[in-house]
Amino acid sequence: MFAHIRIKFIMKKLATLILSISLIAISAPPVHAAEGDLGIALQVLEGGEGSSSSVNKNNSLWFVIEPGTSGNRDVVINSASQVPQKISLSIAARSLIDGELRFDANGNSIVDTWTTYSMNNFVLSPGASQLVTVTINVPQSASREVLQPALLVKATGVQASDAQYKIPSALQISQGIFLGVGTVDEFSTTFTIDDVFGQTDQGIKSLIVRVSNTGSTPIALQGDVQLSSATFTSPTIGPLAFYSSTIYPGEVGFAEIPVGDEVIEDRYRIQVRASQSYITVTRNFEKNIDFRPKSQLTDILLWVGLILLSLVLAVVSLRVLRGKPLLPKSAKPNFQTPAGPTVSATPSRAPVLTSVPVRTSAVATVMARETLLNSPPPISRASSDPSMTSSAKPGKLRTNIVVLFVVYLVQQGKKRFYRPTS
Amino acid sequence: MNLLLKKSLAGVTLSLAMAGLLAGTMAVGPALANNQQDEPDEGFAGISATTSASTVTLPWCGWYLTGVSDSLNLVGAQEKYDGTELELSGQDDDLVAFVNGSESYSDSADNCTWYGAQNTKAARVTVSADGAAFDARPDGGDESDNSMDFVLDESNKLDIAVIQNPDGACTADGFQVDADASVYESNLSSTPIQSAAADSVTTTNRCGWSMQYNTTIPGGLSPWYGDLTYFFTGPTLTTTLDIL
Repeated sequence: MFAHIRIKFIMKKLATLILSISLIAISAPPVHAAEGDLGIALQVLEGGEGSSSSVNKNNSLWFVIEPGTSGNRDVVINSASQVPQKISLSIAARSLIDGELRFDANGNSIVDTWTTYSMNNFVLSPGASQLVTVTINVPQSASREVLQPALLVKATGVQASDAQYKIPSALQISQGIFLGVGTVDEFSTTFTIDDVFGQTDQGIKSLIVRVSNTGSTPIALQGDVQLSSATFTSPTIGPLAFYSSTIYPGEVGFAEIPVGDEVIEDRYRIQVRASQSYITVTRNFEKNIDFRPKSQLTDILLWVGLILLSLVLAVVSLRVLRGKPLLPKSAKPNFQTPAGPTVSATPSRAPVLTSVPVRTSAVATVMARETLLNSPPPISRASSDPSMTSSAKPGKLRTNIVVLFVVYLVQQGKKRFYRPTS
Repeated sequence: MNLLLKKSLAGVTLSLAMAGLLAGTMAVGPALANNQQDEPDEGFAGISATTSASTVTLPWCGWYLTGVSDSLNLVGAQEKYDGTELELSGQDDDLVAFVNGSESYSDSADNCTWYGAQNTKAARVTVSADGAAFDARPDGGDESDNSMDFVLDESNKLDIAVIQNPDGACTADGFQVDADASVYESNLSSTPIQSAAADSVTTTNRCGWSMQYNTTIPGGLSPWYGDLTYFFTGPTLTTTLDIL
């Protein structure tokens, strides 16, 4: 009896287990390629020694190759298909579209003719992986420059369809290439650690490391930060690891390190270390760290708007109080009044003559005409004669000062606010 | 307007403007100063150290693209071409772009690693054609019947409708999907899918979708042969996963 109950219990458990496994199988995402469909992945392996060794310890296809020499990199092509696929590799151009380099389906690159592959145009078995060495042989005659094409790995079916209406189809993976054609000295990898500061974004405190790419190759840094209080003895915090996204030559990048409550606002001795391949830069700081909100740019723009509006209102009010017209005379083309002082042989230059007082008589008008006839072209006179106190000139000056002031404020605001690089 | 009233108004406005200027400058000055951290002190050489350890490493993460048919087979809306327009349509299901460490997708966060955010890559999917012409060939013949050929143009595009799979997780995983793409003579490329930016890409991002294709054999074409099966072959469509 006891044994019977035990068997029933085990059977029940087994049934539950089988049902659970079935449910898991049913609810699993159906992402494996269906039969007959193409599927691949491309993996770029870390590079070895050679001229590109300062930039190739990552999964990016970055090369520095001197003319007359070659550089190589290994890639692995993984099949994610249940059918054999024909694999072909090539190099194509990339075009700058909307500010970013994009694969150009119709573009050709000179690098394609320089490149050889340890294997090409081969059949990749279902589920298999194939390592391919990509070698770029830069000819002696190549000019020193930066080229940024893309490696294309294309997969197609091995059997043609016999359907009545068909569109042949292929799958392709494109991986960008940075190729500096020149010596290591010409394409040096250098960068500086500029600053480290605190920031709070949506309640999360972070340390931000600002780095500048001062070299000629892209960089993607990894590093760490260690802090110890400068005001009292306390355990060292860290090392806290950080990574930067790709920073291209001449660009500034920011790496964000989320920190916990152990980092409080205080004065710290901070050691920052950043590495790109075998190149490591270390910098120590002693400074106050506080965690201010990420950005107040919108608030600042609103305040700047208020300042501008106030300035305009102040100018208008002052003019009214002084009994002057709201708009300078120069702003009113006066070609319709031949007896007035703004008559000009060249109407487009009329504002230059508005320096003649409005209340002048016809005599003054005649004088003005004579002045015009006997003088150099009005534009040159207006720009060189300091006695020309026309309202147009100070008006422009005022506008320029206001514009410069606004540009200065916006630039100061931009400089000081952390903006992550993409 | 009365001059006195005008001047009074101007006086009030001037007072307000001065108050605004004062408030604005007081607000902007400290705001800028607040965000300016102390100038970094001069650096000095640090001590570098190396460590080593023996451990089992996780697979590298990579982008996969699967489910692309090697040939898109279209179906005619009617069985025979009678000189009027004949609509063609077809569908490619279960395309998936995903990040993982192997070809069998796993939603486990530690199925792979990018080994540092500096290695994380974003991706976009582009559909491009190597031309715009549909080639017509009568059954049994090797030669094309040029009179039945047609070209995709602005009035007769190859329309591509992108439909996210219900469990495709595109939007949730930060992908942007352009539901309406098309390919024709002066526009041979479209970008229907774009992943999140590299710094938001994880180890399990995934987007699954289907693509519906529609075009039309134009009316008014005269075949060389009547009562014969014609085979139509379009330009090669390449679905590219552009790793950014």
